[in-house]
Amino acid sequence: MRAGPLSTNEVIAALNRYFVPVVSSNYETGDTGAAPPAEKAERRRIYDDFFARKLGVGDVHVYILRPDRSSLCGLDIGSALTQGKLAAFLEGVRSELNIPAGPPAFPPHPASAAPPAPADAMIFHLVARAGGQGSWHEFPSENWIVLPRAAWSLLLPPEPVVALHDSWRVPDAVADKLLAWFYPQTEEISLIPRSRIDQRELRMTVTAVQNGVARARIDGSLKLMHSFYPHKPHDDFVNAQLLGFMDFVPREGRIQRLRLITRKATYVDSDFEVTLRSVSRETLDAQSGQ
Amino acid sequence: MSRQSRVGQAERLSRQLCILRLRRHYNNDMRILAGTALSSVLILGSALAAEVWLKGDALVSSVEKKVQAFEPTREERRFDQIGWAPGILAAEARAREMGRPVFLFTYDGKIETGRC
Repeated sequence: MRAGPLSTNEVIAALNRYFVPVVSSNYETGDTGAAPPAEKAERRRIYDDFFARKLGVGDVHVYILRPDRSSLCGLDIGSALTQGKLAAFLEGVRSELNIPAGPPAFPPHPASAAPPAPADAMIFHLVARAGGQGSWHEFPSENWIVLPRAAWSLLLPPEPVVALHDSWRVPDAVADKLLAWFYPQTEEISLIPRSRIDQRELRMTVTAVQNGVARARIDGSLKLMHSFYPHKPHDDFVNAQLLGFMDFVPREGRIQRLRLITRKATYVDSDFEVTLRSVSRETLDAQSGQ
Repeated sequence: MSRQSRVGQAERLSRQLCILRLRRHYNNDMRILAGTALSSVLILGSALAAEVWLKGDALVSSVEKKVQAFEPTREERRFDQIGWAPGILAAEARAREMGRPVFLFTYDGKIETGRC
């Protein structure tokens, strides 16, 4: 839906002008989900009412409520994905309720945004893309990784003075945090990593030192077990070769920037790519308009 | 002194006072502007002096190229152009205020991360 009808001009315009749009994750509003109890109860009420009135229900489904939150109509996912059907459905609702056009009910904002973090934390943005076509590959997945100072400082060399060709291995604890999302787009139900890292190595080697700033090349490898669906355990593996660099100021114990990419990565039998970059506070502030 | 000449003198005085005020404002503004410019130069200068960056090399260039190429495109972020409510209850409250219907899409996974 996200890459399909929810990315078309007609549907975007209709939702912003005539509706109050909201998405709801089945896992978050399920019995064990993290949604507030009142949110879960309302989701349950809507489902039960649509079911009782035979208006159609489904886990992946569109539900339309009147302004007084009473049930109006719905659209199954198969129909919603059929070209033009969702736009026509929304136009039908608009016409039936005679809704006047107006501004978006809530200001549009990025779905994927950096989480709040302490001032001395480092924030990383990860993008994963699988090759090939199919609904799972229509847009990349994104994750934000926050490393508190105690964690990111472990990326630095043990001594505050470095020389060319100095080399050190990143401790597994911090490597695991950076590598936890190195797999292609699969189904996730939370922001807590659920993969098992069987082998990882991130090795830094100093390639340049000038005016108190140093650059380390990052060479790495990863073997990670990750089932496609959260509740269907399966021995599916990621095998990846990694490459990157880190610019840092050894004497100040400060990292200027870090980049890490997959050189060659496979998940089961398919290739995929991941890029990871540190994002400065200035960039985040500029993106959020501060 | 005739009434006309008294009025004329008053007008001249008033004009001179006005010019003096304008000059004072102008001088103050110039001082503030000069101060701001100087501060900006000093801040920028100290920031540039403080942060030294290494030149790019073949490794940096190849890695950065891939990082940039794999960033989500504007087309892939069209979903962000929709003004989504933060939750069902918030959507219903806003719908009541605006007299609009709620569009609720339920799904598996996490749509905001693209892992769904």
